[in-house]
Amino acid sequence: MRLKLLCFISLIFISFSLFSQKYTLSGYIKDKQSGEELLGANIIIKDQNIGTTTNAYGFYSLSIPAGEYEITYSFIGYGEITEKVKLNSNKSLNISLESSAIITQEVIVSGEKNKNVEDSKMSVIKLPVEAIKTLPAFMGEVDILKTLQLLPGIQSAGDGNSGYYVRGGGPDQNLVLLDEAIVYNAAHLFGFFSVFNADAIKDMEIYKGGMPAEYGGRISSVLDISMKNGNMNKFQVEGGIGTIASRLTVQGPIVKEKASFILSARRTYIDILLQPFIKSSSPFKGSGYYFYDLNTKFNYRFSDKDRLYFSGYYGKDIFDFKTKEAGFNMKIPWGNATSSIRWNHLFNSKFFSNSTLVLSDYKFQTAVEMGDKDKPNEGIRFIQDSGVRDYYFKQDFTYLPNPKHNIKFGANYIYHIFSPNSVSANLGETEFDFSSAQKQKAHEAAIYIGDDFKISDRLTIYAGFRAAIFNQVGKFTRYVKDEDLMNNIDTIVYKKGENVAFYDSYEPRASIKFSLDKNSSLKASFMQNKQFIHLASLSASTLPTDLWVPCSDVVKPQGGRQYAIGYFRNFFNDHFETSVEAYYKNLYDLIEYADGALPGDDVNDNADNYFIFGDGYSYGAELFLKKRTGRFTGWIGYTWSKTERIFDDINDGEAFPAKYDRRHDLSLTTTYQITEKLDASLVFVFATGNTTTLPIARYMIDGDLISEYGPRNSYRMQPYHRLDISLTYQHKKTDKWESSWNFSVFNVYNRKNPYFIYLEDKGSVESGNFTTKAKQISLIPILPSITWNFKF
Amino acid sequence: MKIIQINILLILFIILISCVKDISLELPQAQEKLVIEAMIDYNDYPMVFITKNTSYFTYIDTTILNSSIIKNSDACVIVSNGIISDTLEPAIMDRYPYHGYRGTKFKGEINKSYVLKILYLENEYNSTTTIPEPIPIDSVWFSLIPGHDSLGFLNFKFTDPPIYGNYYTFYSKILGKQKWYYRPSFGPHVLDDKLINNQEFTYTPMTKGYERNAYYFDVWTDEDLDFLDLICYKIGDTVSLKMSTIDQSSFNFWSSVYRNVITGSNPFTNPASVKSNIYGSPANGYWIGSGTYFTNVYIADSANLTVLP
Repeated sequence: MRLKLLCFISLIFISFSLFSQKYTLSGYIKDKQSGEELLGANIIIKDQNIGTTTNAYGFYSLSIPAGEYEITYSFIGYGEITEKVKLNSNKSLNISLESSAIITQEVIVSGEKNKNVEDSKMSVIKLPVEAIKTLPAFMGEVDILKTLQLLPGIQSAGDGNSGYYVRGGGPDQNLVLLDEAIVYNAAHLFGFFSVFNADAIKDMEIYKGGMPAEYGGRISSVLDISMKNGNMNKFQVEGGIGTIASRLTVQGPIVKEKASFILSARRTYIDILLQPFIKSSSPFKGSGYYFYDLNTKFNYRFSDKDRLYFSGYYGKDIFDFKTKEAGFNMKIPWGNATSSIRWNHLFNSKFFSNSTLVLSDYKFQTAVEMGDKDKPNEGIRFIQDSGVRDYYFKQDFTYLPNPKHNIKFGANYIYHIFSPNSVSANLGETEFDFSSAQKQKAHEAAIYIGDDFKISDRLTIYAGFRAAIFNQVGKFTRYVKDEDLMNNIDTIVYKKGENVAFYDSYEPRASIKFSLDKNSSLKASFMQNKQFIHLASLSASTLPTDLWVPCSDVVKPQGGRQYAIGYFRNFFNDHFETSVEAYYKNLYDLIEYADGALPGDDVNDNADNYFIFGDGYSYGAELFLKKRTGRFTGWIGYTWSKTERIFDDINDGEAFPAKYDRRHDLSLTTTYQITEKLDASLVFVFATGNTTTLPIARYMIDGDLISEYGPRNSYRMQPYHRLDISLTYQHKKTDKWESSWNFSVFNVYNRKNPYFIYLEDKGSVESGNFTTKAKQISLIPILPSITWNFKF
Repeated sequence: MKIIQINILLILFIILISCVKDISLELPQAQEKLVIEAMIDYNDYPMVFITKNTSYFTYIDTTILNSSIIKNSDACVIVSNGIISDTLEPAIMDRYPYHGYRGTKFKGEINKSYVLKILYLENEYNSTTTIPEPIPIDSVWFSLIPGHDSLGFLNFKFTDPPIYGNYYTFYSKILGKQKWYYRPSFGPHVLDDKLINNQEFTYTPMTKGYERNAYYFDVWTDEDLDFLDLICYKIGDTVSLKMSTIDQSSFNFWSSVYRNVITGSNPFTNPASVKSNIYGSPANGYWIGSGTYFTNVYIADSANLTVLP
C-alpha cells in the first residue's frame, strides 16, 4: 500500500516537470475596506477559461506561459476587477476588491457566477456571513448553524436539539472547525443558539459529501468556519443590542497593513432581566441560565511570504439551580475553548505551506452542593466532569504547478484526552476517593494527498487519499461487565503508555465534473472514511450531557461510504442556480446505548460498557433552486430521504428508522429589498416528524405495571413546520456610522411543534378511573424580537 | 450522579419555558399476549396465574381487569418433574388476578428441574426451571431510624456458597397485618451471585414491602398515606423474611423488570424490554423455581429481636 502511494505521488510530480517554460502570477486578494483576505475568490484569465481560486488564507497562484493576459478578479458580494498583466517573469500581484454593498446595495445570496456548475466539487455550499444577516433571527441572534439547516441535505432535529444531521449521519459525524480548531459542541442552550457569534465570522463552507482529503476524522460532513482577521486599515466597533443578548466587536490595525486584531464578545442577560421579577422570598431566587462567548484573533504579516495568526474562542453555558430552603445548589457549566496558532509560509509562488498548532477543549460539569451554607464544613459537595481535550498539530502544503493542478498534501497528529466521566465528592471535610474514575488517552495521526486535476475544459477530476491511525494507550482499566450490565466480572489493567487498542483507516476520495455546456454540468463523487470518536446519546434529543467517547478495546471506529451524483444548471445569465443531487451512504460500526442502560459515574466502570453496535444506511435526493441576484433573492431546498439503522440487539435485528429519519424536508428562504433602506425576509420550513419509541401495551407483574414497547422508533411525531419573518431597517448610514434595526418574528402562526411525548397515568383501578394520557411538549411559541445593530 | 438525572433537570428547565398539550396517539395494534406468572417454590406446589396484556391506552377499570384474567378451564396448565405430569387445578385467591392454577401431585424439590406447558386456544407455551439449594439466613437485627422510637428497618446476614450460579430474591411479610410476601419498597429485590460469590453478605437495610400495584393506589401522590409507615417495620411487628435462590434466567427476568419499571415511559432513556423466559407462542412473564428459606422474627424492642421457630 505504502509503495503504491509513493509511486502515485512521484508520478504526479514527474508529470509537472514535463510542461513548457512558465511563469507564476501569485498574491493575496483582500477586502479594500478592512484589509481582510477573501477566501475562495476567483481569478480567471479572460477568454481562456483558465483560472483558480484563493485558498483559506486568501492566497492564489497561477502558473501560465509567458504572455499578456487580461485577468479578472471576483468574489461574491464584491465588485469585479480586471487587470492587464504582462508576464515575462514570476510576478506577485495583490488585489483589493470593494464590497458590492458599497457599490450597488444589491444583495447577492451566495456563490460566485457559474461556480456551482464549473467547480469539480459537489455537495459543498459556501455562505458568506454577511449574506445571512438579513434573514429572520431567533431572538435577534443571527445564527449560521440555523441558516445551514435551511439547505437541502442538512437537517435540524427540531427545536431544543443542538445537533444537525447531514444526509442521514449522526450529529457526532460532523466536523466543525473554527479557524482549524475542532469544536465539539457547537450549540448554546439546547441548540437555540450556535456558539458562533456572526460578528466575528467571515465565511463558512460545508461539505455534505465528497470531502477533500485534507479533511478527516468525521464521516458525514465538514463545516469549515473562518473568523475575521481584524481590520488592517482602521479601527472599527460593531455591535448589537437584542432582546436577550448583546454583542460587541472591536477590530483594527496594530501596525497598519502589517498586524491587526479582532475581539468579539456576546452574553445573554435573560437571567439578569428576570431577577427583579423573582421575589426574594421565592425558593428559586438566584436560579438562572446564561451563556457567553468570546472570540479573538490576532495576525501579523512578517512579509509577503510569512504570516502568523493566533485565534481563540472561549464560550460557556451556565445553568444555575438554587433552592434556598432545601439548601440545594446545582451549577451546570459547559462549553468549548479553542486556540490555534497558524503560520503561513510561501516557499515560492507555487508552493504554499500552513502549519497549525491547536488546543481544543470541551467540558461539561455538574457541581452539586447540599447542606446549610452557614456550616460549610458539614455539607455534601459533588462534582462530575466529562469532556475532551485535543492537542493538535497539522502541516498542510499546497502546490500549484500549473492552472490544471491544485495539489494539497500534508499530515496531522492529535493527542486526545477523553474524560467520559470523572467524579469528586466530599462530605464536610472528608474527601471521597474516586481514584478509579479514569481518562482515555489516544494518539491519532493522518497523512493525505489530493489533486484537483483539470483534464480538459469539460472534464475535471479530483482524486485524493487519506490514511489515518488511532491508538488508545494506557493508563486504563477495563471493567468487564456481565450480560445484564449490572456487575463487574473481570478487570483488565493497562499500564501507562501500554497499547489498549489500535485502528487504521484508508480513505479514497474522488469526484468528477463533466461540463455539458457553459451553463450545466454533471458531477459524481465517492468518499470512504472512518472516525475514531462517537457521541453517546441517552435521550431522543441531543443534549450537552451526551458523552464523547473514543474508540477503545470494545468500541470500533465508525465508518462511512458515500456515493453521490448531481446535475447542476444555471439559468438566465446565472440569475438562477439549480441542482439535483442523489446520494447513497453506508454507515457501519455505529453505537447506541443498550436497552434500558443507565450509565453511572464511571467509578469502577467504563462508559462504553453500555453500548451496542450496528450499521446503517441512508439514501435520498436533494433539489435546490436559488435566485442569486436582484432585489428578490433566496432559495428553495427540498430533500427526500430515508435513513435506517440495523442493530442485532434492537428490533430482533430488523432495520428500523433512525431517530432523525425524515422523508420530506423543505425550506424556503427569501429576502426582498423593498427600498434601499428596508429589507424583508421570510423563512418557511416543513419537515416530516421525528421518530420515537412508545409503549404499545402493558401488563402487570407482581403488582408492577410493565410497559411493552413497540418496534424501535416506530412512532412518528407530528410534522415540524414554522414560518419566520423579519424586517431590517437601515436607520442611518454615513461613512463613519451605520445603524440598523432588525424586527423578527419566529414561529409566526404559533405552531406547536413536538419536542417530545410523555405519558402520564392518572386515577386508580379501584375507583374505576385509571387512565393514561399522552402529552406533547412544544418549546417555542410565537416569539417577536427586536435588535439594534450598530457599526462605527 | 447519573447522566439521566442531569438530563431530567435540564429538561425540567425546558418544560418550565415550554408548552404542554394533550394529544391522542394512533399506536399500532399491540399483539395480544398471555402474561404468565408461574412459580414453584421449594416444598410447595406449583402455582400459575395467567392474564393478558392490554393496549397501552385502554381505560382500565375492574371490568377490563377481570376480562383479562384467564381462569378455570380457559387454559390447560401442566407441570412435569420428569416423572409425573400434574395438570394444575383452578384455584382462587383474594388478590389480583384472583384466579390461578395450583398443583396437587408434587411439591418442589431442591436441584430438580420442572417443565411448564400451557395450552390456551391454539397456542402452546413452554418453559423449564430448576430449584436451586436454599441458603439460610445467618442472623437478623433491627435498627431504628434516627429520630424515631418505633420505626426502623431489618438487616440480615447470609453466606453465599462457593458454587457459582445461585441468584437471590428477597421478600417479607408482616404476620397478622399483610397477607402476601412483598418485595422491599426500596433497595434491591434481586442480587447477582457474581457480586457475592463465596462471601458473607449483609443485606442492609431491608425495607418493608407494600402492595405496589399501581392499579390500587399511587404511593407518591396519595396524601392519606404515611410514607414512613409504608416502608418501615415497627416495634411489635412479627416479620417473616423470605429469601429465595433462583437460577440465571429467572434473575435476568427480574433485573429486566427492574429496569423497565425505573425507566418507565421516560423519553430520555432507551426503552427497556422485559426478558421473558416463556417460549413457544409469544408471551410475557416467567416460570421461576425458588429455593426458599424463611425466617420469622419478632421485633421486641429496638435492641432485641426474637427469632421464632
